[in-house]
Amino acid sequence: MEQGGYRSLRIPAVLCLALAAVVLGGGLFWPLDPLAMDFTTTLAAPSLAHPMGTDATGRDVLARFLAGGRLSLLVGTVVMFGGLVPGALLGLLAARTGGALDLILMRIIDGIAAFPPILLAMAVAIGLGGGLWTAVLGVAISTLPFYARLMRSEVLRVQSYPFVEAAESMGASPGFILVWHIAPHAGSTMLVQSASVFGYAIITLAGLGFVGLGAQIPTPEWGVMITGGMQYALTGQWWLTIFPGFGILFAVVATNLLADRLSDVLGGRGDA
Amino acid sequence: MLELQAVRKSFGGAGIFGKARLKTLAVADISLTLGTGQTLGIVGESGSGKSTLARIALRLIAPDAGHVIFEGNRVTHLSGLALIPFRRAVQPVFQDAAGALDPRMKVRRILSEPLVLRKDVARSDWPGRIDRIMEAVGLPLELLGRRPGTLSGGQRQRVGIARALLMEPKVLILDEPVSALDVSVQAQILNLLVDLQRDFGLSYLFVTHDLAVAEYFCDDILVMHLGRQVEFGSAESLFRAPDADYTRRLIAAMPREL
Repeated sequence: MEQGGYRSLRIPAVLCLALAAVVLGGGLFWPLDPLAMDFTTTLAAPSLAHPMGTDATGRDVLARFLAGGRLSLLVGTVVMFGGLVPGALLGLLAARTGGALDLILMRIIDGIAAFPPILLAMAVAIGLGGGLWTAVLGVAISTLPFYARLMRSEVLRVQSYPFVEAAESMGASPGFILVWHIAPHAGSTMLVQSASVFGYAIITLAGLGFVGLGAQIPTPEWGVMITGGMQYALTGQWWLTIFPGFGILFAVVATNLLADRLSDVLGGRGDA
Repeated sequence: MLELQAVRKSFGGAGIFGKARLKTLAVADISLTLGTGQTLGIVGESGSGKSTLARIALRLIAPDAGHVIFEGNRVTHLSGLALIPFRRAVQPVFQDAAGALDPRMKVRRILSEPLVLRKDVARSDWPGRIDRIMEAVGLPLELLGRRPGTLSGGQRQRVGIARALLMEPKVLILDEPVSALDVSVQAQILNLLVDLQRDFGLSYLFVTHDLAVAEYFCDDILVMHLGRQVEFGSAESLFRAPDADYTRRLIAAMPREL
């Protein structure tokens, strides 16, 4: 089963690496400026000079697509760690202290979770003045409950096992039990959660960019690109929306697939 | 060796938000003395408080009243470094050997945990110690590279025993060590425990619901019901002439040999 598990990890891993390679390496082979306007070639269809065409101000869509991809990877990573680190610490603290502090912390987390994530992110972005990085902060806050609740329940689950009692009986300190027993279990669960948050962050920030609350025009960001290109979709300039849309789809599918397979491989409790 | 003096433990009581909850007396004023090289059985139905008693004896939970005494010293309220000699000397073997072994670790790592915690065995001696203990509990060395999930119930229980023995304990608290196993495997594990007791001079506190196993395995038996001691005596006298009604009913409920 372990063998099969690792095999099934191959496809999503290749997809994610391919995305990263294209987006990060593409800039080297396609050095056009994503912001450079050229009013002699506006709304040009895909061609050899512009494989993804140009937009209404003559900017190269491929250059913008690659820049948008780099931005998506960056915000995905920032949101992932921005939620993971405080979320996991909160969950750990709640589980280890128990009692009143646990109660207070988890009710705060419930409070955060009570908002629909996209609304919470919008509220934070509006409240702090809009723009990409306030939106990133908002999305990161909205992921806190995922991490904190999962971490808390994972710590409590592992702590309840007799092997922890056995460790205590051998004189293990709480710190030793944390490092030796809890971290390996909770770590793999957190990794799986992080991979799915990565995809969630990309699509949510693209959504916020689309409604004008995330990245601002003219930043090359996939959501913003779709907004800008939308009015041309009906007049036949499909390349303005299709390529960034495909970018979002690919990134989200690849990372979710990775998260799903990771949970198969790592979440197997090692009984294979 | 190990002594419990009128230990008492209850669970429940005041809940959150001051809601009154029913308080359950799990262990009520139980006293017992486990002599060196002796096997003392704690027998009772599930819910009789015998596992709570085992956890008190292991100092995993603190009693509400009474004392745990080890080699003449009260260890009831010791913690940290002061408790280390007790921790080394008194080791548990649990019923659920699957949950008693960390499923993510290979057997080699599971058996290195006590050596890490003991701190007094040089790292270069670990492989030799681990190999010897595997032999002592009757496990082939190939199993060192396996995870608990791929072992049989009997093999897992042997790993659990090996881990406890690596602490070089004087007392093993055996909490239903064979209850989850097939009858034939039960006999193998019980025989192993008898051999280990002789070879290492161990004292056993043996918690079980199985009277037949207790009769075979124990010198003295303490019968518990609803947290209280209902009878105490040598295994032989208890089965020949039980005093308490409850013990008589337990004995009557034993499956007869065909």
